[in-house]
Amino acid sequence: MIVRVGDRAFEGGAVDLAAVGSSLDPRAVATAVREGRARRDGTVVTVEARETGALHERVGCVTPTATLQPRTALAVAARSRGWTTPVDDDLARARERLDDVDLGDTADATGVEARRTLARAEDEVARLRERVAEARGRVQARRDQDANTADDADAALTDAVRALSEVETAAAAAREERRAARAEARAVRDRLADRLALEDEVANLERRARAHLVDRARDAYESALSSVPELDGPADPFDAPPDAAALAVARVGDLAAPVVVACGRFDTACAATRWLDAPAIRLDP
Amino acid sequence: MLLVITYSQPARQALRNLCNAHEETVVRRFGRAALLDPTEFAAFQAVRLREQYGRAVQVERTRPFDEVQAVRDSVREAAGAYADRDSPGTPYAKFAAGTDHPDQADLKETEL
Repeated sequence: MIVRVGDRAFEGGAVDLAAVGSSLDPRAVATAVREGRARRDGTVVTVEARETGALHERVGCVTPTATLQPRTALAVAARSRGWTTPVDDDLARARERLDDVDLGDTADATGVEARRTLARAEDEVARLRERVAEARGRVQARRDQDANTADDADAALTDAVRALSEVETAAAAAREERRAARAEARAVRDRLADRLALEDEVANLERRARAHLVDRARDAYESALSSVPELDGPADPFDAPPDAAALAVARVGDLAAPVVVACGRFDTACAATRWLDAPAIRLDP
Repeated sequence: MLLVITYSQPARQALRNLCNAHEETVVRRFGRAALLDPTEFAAFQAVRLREQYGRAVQVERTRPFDEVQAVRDSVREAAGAYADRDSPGTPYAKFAAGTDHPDQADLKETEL
């Protein structure tokens, strides 16, 4: 690998940046390993090295304060060595089925629109019903006075009845649209429910795969942990200090990209590289 | 009451958060559903969830089921008799055959 910090360059499988100064943030260096380049407090760090994988995300930056889920990380380490599990085929199929779920339109815009249209139409119907009743009343009143002057009132009633009939038709159409939108929503929910079931299935299979891998890698992990420098063996290997656990996981796994080691457990970058059997960049913790 | 049912992980989490934050509004919680008080506040929350998650949130308005008003006498009587049957293994269709109890197919076709 080639590491550049500002205008200084370092080359080789083990790079010691402790001498460059303690101001360098290990996380920035790890970012540079992953992305090629990082900038922190005005200092540019670039790294040319092999590409990182899923394991590097977990244990690529070893510091005493890093958070680590040791079991999950160990399962990823086992994967990096090409290990498989009996549920892998089922898992692949379940993931594929999950990808294939076609949800359709999950927004409910048509439903909202149908409900609003219907509410407006129903308001109109109520308003026009009143108008028809009023017009009918006026027709009756005119007839009581003088049958010959009822023509205007008759015309108003005819208009009102026609308008009412139109909005009643519109309301019926809106009701039908709302019904269709509800049916469509129900079909979408069937697919959403299928997806939830598949997500549960995938999560369940992932747990089983992880348990299998952790079980298989446990001995290697414990043996790696017992050789971590400057460590009193913890009672529960999965309760080890995060930097020690990360180192042990990294040693179990297969890492091509450089590991940033800033834990104070190695005196030189070469010692870290030898112990990890992977390229390493050493910094002060 | 308002029955809110969720159909996606984010919607489920949002409903969970809502239930935790407003326990007084929640009548009952189920896995990914909850029954909310019939208040404007509950309606506000339900509409908000629906705005945010679309069809992944279903909201139904429920009302107590009054079997005396909602159901024919013969149906209620059949239900009582079936609940009280001697052999628990008898399916209703067989139980009703040759009696005055309503036919299962008819029951299925008749809307409430």
